[in-house]
Parts: sequence; structure tokens; C-alpha cells
Amino acid sequence: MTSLLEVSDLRVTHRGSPIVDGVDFKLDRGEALGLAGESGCGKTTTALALMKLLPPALTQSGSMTLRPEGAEEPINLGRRTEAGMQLVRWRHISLVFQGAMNSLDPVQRIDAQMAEAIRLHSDQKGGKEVGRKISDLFKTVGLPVSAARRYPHELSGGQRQRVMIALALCCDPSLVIADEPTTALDVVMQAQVLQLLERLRESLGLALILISHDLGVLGETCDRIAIMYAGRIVETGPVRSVFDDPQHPYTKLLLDSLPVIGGERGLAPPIPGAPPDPGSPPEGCRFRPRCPYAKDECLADPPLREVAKGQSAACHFAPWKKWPDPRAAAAAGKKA
Amino acid sequence: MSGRWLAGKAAAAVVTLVFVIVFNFFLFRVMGDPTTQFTRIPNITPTELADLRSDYGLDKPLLTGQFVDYIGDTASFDLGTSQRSRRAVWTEIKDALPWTLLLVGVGTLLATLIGSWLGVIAATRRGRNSDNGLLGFSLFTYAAPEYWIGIILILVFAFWIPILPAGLQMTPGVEFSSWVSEVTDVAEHLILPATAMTLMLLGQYFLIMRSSMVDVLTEDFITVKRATGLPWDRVVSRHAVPNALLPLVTLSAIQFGAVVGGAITIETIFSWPGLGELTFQAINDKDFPVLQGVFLVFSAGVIFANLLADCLYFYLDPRVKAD
Repeated sequence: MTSLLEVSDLRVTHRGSPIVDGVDFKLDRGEALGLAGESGCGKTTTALALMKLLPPALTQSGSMTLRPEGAEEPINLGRRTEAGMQLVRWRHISLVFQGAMNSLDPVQRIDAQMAEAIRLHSDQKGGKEVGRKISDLFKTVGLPVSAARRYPHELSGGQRQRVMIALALCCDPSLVIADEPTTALDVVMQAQVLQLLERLRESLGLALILISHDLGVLGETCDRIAIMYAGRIVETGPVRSVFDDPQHPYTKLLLDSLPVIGGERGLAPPIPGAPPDPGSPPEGCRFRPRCPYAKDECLADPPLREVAKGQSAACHFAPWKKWPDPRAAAAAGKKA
Repeated sequence: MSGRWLAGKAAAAVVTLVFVIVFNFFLFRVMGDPTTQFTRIPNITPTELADLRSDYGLDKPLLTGQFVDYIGDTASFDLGTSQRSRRAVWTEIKDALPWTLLLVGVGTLLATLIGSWLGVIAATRRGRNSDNGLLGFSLFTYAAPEYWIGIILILVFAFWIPILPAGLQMTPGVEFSSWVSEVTDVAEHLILPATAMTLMLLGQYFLIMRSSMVDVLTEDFITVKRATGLPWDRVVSRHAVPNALLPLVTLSAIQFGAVVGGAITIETIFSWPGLGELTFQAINDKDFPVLQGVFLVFSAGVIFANLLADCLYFYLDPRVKAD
């Protein structure tokens, strides 16, 4: 079976500094991939690069191939021009943005904004047909149909995020990219929106790329997860395996920093240091300066390679059978 | 809801107007006794002076006499008599107002349209040569005094290349055969002052529109609209411009009110018989009743324009209704 989306060696640079530095991944039809990492690690940039929506100051390269259902030939996104991308956007890939507050035009009614997107990609020109489509979508995402006649500011944050999801579905895409879709919402709304995404994915056979810094959110929703650090994927694999048995020190420390419900009280250990400046990345492994297990080998760039079934990590010492205590390892590393 | 909102705004406008009327009365009392300028006439006798005072009602007590008379007269549109022309101030204003509205209306309209259009162009080409060029041009016209621009226009288009009249609103002493030729004649006279007016206002509209567009273009919904596959020019025209227009509407309505009074220099330079020139002459002649009248009209213009801006905003921005 061929995958829906294949990305290889995706690079985004800003005046020569790498923001995204050689990202490869595959996504199957109907699969949910989680993209995790600290702020500024290149998650959102990767998402925007997939739709070629980066601001002009950023340049991107690499190949991206999309094979949507029913398309005779694969779509080579990397080679598409702006006009060509306009046909792909929303028709095949749509986007749910972070910050539902500002994702809709504040001075236009919601149904007008949805009708605009629907008319762009289909022959449905009739007002009735479009209207029926909009009310169907509103029912699907659990909103009253009357909300379509409203302006964005008249809805709550959760309702607006539902509108965004309805908007993302209005051209029956095969892939939805959700960039921090729940960040601006309270916990109850978060759970509802995630459940909605999950349900839609199952019923519509959507593929989903879910971007979040919240590992809990990704763990609940995704099949596979990719951990990004400083513009690179450092570990990827099935969610369960990565969470239960991480194979990259960054993943390991990230998971350790999560508080455990019912566990010992106290502050979770933070990862010391800060992500590198993309203008002058460290030599070799990007995580080396912050890694308690770093050794001389780490001055050479570690490739992302399969270390367990379906699980890959970019670390010279993977697979890790047992994780030494990070503090002891760091102390030993300093002495050596 | 919207009716109450409008009623509230209108009530606030009326209160402001009443304040202006009261303030206007005391402003001219503070300036001193208007009859003192007649004392410069040699050989004036104290009896004649006293007669003058009683003619103008200046012998009455300030609050119970003069102020009450003033409020009553103002309410019935009697703004007194011009000391220079001996005509009613209200008639003078009525004759001048249409000319000012014509000049200011055309100038504001052109400046708004051209300024915002150039602002959109500059914002979408931010940092490029065309943006820098437009920015330089608009800062120049914004900084240059409008009377200087007016003089340069007269010099070039009425003197060096004499294709346009240097002043007045129409050719004097001509019997027009039809209204078409009359309108054409007025239009010819309007070109230069309206150009000066447009150049004077253009820079502000350009700068406001440009910065407003630059702000809007960084909003998330612009990226979302692009993500839906909407071509860039339609993202700009359908979503960015309507949002960016909001601050411009306020500016242009408020400016319209302010510029009714601010056209003084341009009207003087082009001998345009509007309120500005009327004001200029009244100042020269110390014609207090006329000044008091035009001040009232200028204030009423600003207040009315603000009310208009509120109404426009209400119509353009659905969020205003919620508040």
C-alpha cells in the first residue's frame, strides 16, 4: 500500500539558517501522526511548508508527494507553483489553526466564509446546495445550524474551533493538519474537540497531522508520533512504543518531565539548558549540549535509523536497553 | 438594541453641540468689548458709543440679558449681522458653505480613494522599492504646507503653462448659456484647489491604510484564507481590505469635519469663496459676529462627522453591535 503523503528531506531556511533541517516522514491514509516538540522546534513551520504557505522570507526545499484518493497521478507538492498549490489547498489538505480567535475573518458572517471555500473547489454554485452542505457540516461538528449566520465574535472559543473544523472539512480533504487545535481552550473543551477530531477521522477516513507540545493530547489521539528537536525529527514510532520505551534521550527526558497523576508530589525535573539558536546549531547531534549521556561520538551527526520495530531514533547509542540515572550520567560525563 | 445605541450617540452629539454654543458665547466676551475698535474712528462721541452699545445689546447684563438673547437667537438660526457687509451672518455662511463642501468633499473623497489604494499597494509590497517610493512621496506631501503646494500649482499650471484658472470658483462676469457650461467652468476652477486639498490629505490616509493593512496581513485568518486556496489578490480584496478599512473610515469622517475649517489657507490662496475665506476676511476685519457664526458651523461639522463615523463603523464592523 502506498502512503498518502511522503515527505523527504524537507528543509526550511531563513537567510541561510535552518528552521527545519531535513525532515522525512510518511503518512498513511486515515492515519493520525502527532508532531511534538518545544516551541520553536519547527512544528508549525513544517505544517505551513506542507501547504507552501510560508512567509516569503523563508525558503523551502525537499520533496513532498501527495496521493489523494481517486487522483490518477501523485501530486508533487514540492514542484507545484503557487497557482498549482491553490488547487491542492483545502481540496486535499486543510488546516485547523492554533488560536481559533483569529482564524476567521471578523467582519464576515461564518456561512459566507464557508461558502467561499466550498465554491472555490467545487462546481456547486447554487446557494441551496451550498447552504445544505454548510448545515450538514454544522450538524457533523455538533453546532446549531443557526450559528452559521453569525459573526465569529458572537461564538465562544470552543464553538469557533468547531467552526474551524467544519471549515476544514468543507471540501472533503484527505488530510487535515491541526496545529495546536486545543491550546486556546479550557480542559473540558479540549477533550470535546479532541473527541470530535477522533470521531471524524474514523467516520471520514481522514488522515490527521496533529501538532502539539502537549504529549498527553498526542497520546490520546495519534497512531504514530514524531518528536522534533531543533528542526529535526529525533524519534518517531507508534505512540505506545515511544511513550513506553523511548529510544532518544530527548524523548526520555521530555516524558520524565511530565507530572504523574497519583505519583510522588513535587516538581517534575526540567531539561536543563535551552534549544539551540537556529543561526548557529551545535556540531553533530543537536541535543548534545543538553544531553546528560553525551559522549565524544555525539560530535558526529546521528542518522535517524530504525532501532526497534517501527520505531526510529537519531541517537548513536540507541537502542537503549536501560536508562542510567541522568544526574549520575551527567556527573560522570563531566569527570571524563 | 441598535436604535438605543444610535439614540445614545445622537444625544451625546447634541450635548456636545450645546456645550460649544455656550463656550462660543463666553469666548467672544473674554476678547473684550467689540465696540473698542470703533473708538479708533476719530471724533466719535461718548453718546454715539453708548448708542452703538445699545444697538448691539452690549449694555444689557451679561448672563440674564446678553446670554439669554444669544441662546434664543442661535436657536432660531439668527447669528447676528456681519459688521463688514451688513448682511446676516447666517446668509453669509449659507452662501459660502456649498463651495467649501464642494472643495472639501472632492478633496476628501479623492484623498481617501487614492490614499487607501496606494496604501494597499505599499502594504502588499512592503519593503520593496515601490513601497519605499510611495512612502517617501506621501511623507513629502504630508509634510509640505498646503499653501506652498497651492502656490506651486498656481505657478506651474496657471502661470508657466497657463491651462487652468489661478483662482475664484468661476469666471467672473460671464453669462452662462446653459448649466452644462456653468458646471464645466466651475469644474475647471476646482481642479487646482482640489488637487492641493487632495495632496494635503493624501499622506495621512496612505499612512493609516498602509499600517492598518500591514497589521491585518499578519493575522491568522489571512493565512487560513490563503490555505483555503483563495488566490492572493482575492485574499487582499475580500478579507484584508475590509478589515483594514475600519480605522480609515473613522479618520476620513473626522477629517471631513475638521477640514471644513482647515481649508482656510487653500481657500485664501485660490480666492475660493468658501467658509475658509470668509473666516480669513472676518479675522482681518475683526468681524466678531461672523467669526462666532463660523466657529459654530465648524464645531457642528466636527460633531456631525464624528456621529457619521460612529454610524459607518456600526455598519462596517459587526463587533461594534455586540458592545
